[in-house]
Amino acid sequence: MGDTVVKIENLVKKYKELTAVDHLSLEIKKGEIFGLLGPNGSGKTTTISCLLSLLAYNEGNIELFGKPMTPVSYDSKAKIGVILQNVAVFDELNVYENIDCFCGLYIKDKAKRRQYVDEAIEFVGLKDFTKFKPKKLSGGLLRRLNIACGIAHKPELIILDEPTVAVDPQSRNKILEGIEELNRNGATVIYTTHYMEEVEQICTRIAIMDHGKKIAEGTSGELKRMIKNTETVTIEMDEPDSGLLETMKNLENAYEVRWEAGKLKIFFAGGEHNLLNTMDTIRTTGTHFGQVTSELPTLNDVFLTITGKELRDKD
Amino acid sequence: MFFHNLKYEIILNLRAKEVIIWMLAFPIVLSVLYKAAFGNIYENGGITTVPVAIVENEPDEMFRAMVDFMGESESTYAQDESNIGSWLSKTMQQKEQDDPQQKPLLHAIYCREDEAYRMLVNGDVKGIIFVDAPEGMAASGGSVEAGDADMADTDTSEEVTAEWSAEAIKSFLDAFDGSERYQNADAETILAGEGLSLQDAASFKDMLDQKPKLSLKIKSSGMEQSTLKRFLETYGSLTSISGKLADQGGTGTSSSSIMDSDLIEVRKLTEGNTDPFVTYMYNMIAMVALFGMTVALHVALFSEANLSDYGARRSCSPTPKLTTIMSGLCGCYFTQILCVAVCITFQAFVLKVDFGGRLPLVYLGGALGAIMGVSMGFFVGAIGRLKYEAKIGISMAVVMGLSFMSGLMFTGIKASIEMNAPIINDLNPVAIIADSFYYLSVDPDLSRYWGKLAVAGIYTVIFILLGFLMTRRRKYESL
Repeated sequence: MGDTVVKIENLVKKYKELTAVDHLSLEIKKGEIFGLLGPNGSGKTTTISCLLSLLAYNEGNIELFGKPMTPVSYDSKAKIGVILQNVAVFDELNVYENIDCFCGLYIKDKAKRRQYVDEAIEFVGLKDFTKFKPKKLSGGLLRRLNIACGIAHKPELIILDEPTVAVDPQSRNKILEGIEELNRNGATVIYTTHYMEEVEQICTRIAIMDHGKKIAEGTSGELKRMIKNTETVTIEMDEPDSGLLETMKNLENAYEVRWEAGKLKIFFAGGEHNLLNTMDTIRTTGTHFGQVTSELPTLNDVFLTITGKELRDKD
Repeated sequence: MFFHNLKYEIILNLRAKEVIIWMLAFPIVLSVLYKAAFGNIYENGGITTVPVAIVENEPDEMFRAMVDFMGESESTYAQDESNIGSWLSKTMQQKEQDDPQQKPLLHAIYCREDEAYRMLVNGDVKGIIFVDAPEGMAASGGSVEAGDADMADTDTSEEVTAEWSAEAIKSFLDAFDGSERYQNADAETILAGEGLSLQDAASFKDMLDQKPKLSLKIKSSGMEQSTLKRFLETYGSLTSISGKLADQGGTGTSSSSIMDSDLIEVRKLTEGNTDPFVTYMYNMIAMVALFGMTVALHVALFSEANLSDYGARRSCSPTPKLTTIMSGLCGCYFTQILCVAVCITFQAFVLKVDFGGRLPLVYLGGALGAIMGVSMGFFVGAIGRLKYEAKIGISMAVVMGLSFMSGLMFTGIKASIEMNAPIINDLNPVAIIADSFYYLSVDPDLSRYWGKLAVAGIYTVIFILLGFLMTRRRKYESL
């Protein structure tokens, strides 16, 4: 158990009648980028707040670095870096001062702190903006500053709560690359989001949450293997007759055929060359068709399959 | 960690626009405006000699004595009627040349009614006081009434009618309050102190009962006319109280303490210096000190995870909450004391406000006021889950409201509160600080000054304790 950084057992958090976190158990190993994926209101942020001992919880145990986590676990807190969902920087301080201000909550030594702040500025790419006040920064740069404030003290465990909300694609990629680099440098990362693409891109392990419960956990591949679908072929065409639908259903590995919104969708469970087989078959029937695409299953499909609904607030 | 937090707390405060506007710019601008409005009066020593005509239809020696005491008098009966104005002007100029430091309140001209009207119309005098026969024994002698309003060639003719009000009595007592000469004194002592004796009391009372009726006629409103009105009111207070005093002396109750009798109700008069300009400055300093509320609101807000994202971020750090709060409070104390010091320094050295030669103690009072204000803000910031902006608005409204009740906008409100609900003045933090300054100016003994500061200290301790009580939580039910 020496490499377990976070251990949550049967965590229950209730707000009066609402159960925000429902008997959640997680174990996060050192060096992982652990993704907490779920729609808004699924209990991700509440879990993080309980983990940080900010929120009182009704049941369960939380351990960080092998020790129970309490509000006065200052040793553990010193090893944690937190980047919260909302940007929390001071408008009156410039970029350098903001990072130094928050870094000073962790690092006493001035010279060491100066070095750490410089490295954090370099890391998030704000070197040209050190004298800028936050109001002068774009949304993306502001997010980067927010991250720098959370990671400047070189924490062993970094918790990022939806750090890419309302961020442009360029800054989002920069942030994701940065998280991977932090991980490569030895940090364990907990990353909460409702963007499944981000989780798929960077997380080594993922827990999917809904209504406070963990509904699935594993690597991206493991999660996708939990569902029947392995490939979906979509063909733009006029409404097919019943004969064509029957022909498609009989394709090898196909288990469902659906025509909706001007597109024929054929769902496959396993097998190889499903797209080629589909194209051959449709050509032999002489059917006119437009664009043809093949999609592998996503975590949304996993979520859809398990819960019967899509991840909400998709961007 | 403490000093690191303290450093950034001070930087944050001093860079905050709200602090610059409300703690530094606003008081300085307001001070300059007050200076522009009242400074001239202040610089001239606060007293302008008011020329007044007195028409005696019924001789009143007591009133004459009062006029002589408060000013100087002349008689026009021997003068050339056609040239009274220039004679008066020359006389006043001569008086000023004789003794420029000595500025009497009144320059009274005893004259006939037609001369008085002529002088009033020409602007040689600011009002006419008529001394008429009493309408009856019970005639108050205290009423100030106007004469006829149908004066020729006058721009405006204003009637001034005032009862011997509680305000007037209070004004009279104000003089006592500063020195406490009559604290626990009996009637005999007070009479003796005023150059009277008990033996004279009975006849004195008869004289007062029959004292003539006074009325005032003015041409227009203004500071000098107000001075005349005030003079008559004060005179009425004096005669009214003296009459009752005479009653006591004449009926053998001389040994009773005047303060214990139902004759005089002792009130702590906190209206401030007799100079309204300085009173405004006191109140302004007190207001600036209490604005510390707004500076310190964020201390709790930025330390509590359920109140702000900053609080959440700090709560996740290994810096104990106590360190965060203490450094925040100390930073706010420093900032606020600095702002108050700037305000006092500006008033004392730029506007040349006279703080009674006890400037260091004014700084001390201001500093303690600042500490009290900051502590209040810490407490307010800790209660409830209102937004920061809402708490700022509430705090500003509270400080302005307390300042209003303390007499910042006009001094009369405080006296009115003192008469009707003195407990409000006793509890009003702005009044407490303003009063401490007032006592510095009027009271050679510092005990009441220290008393007020002690109350401010108690307030501070209470607010800090309550604030810590509110912020003692380490985990929250919700964020």
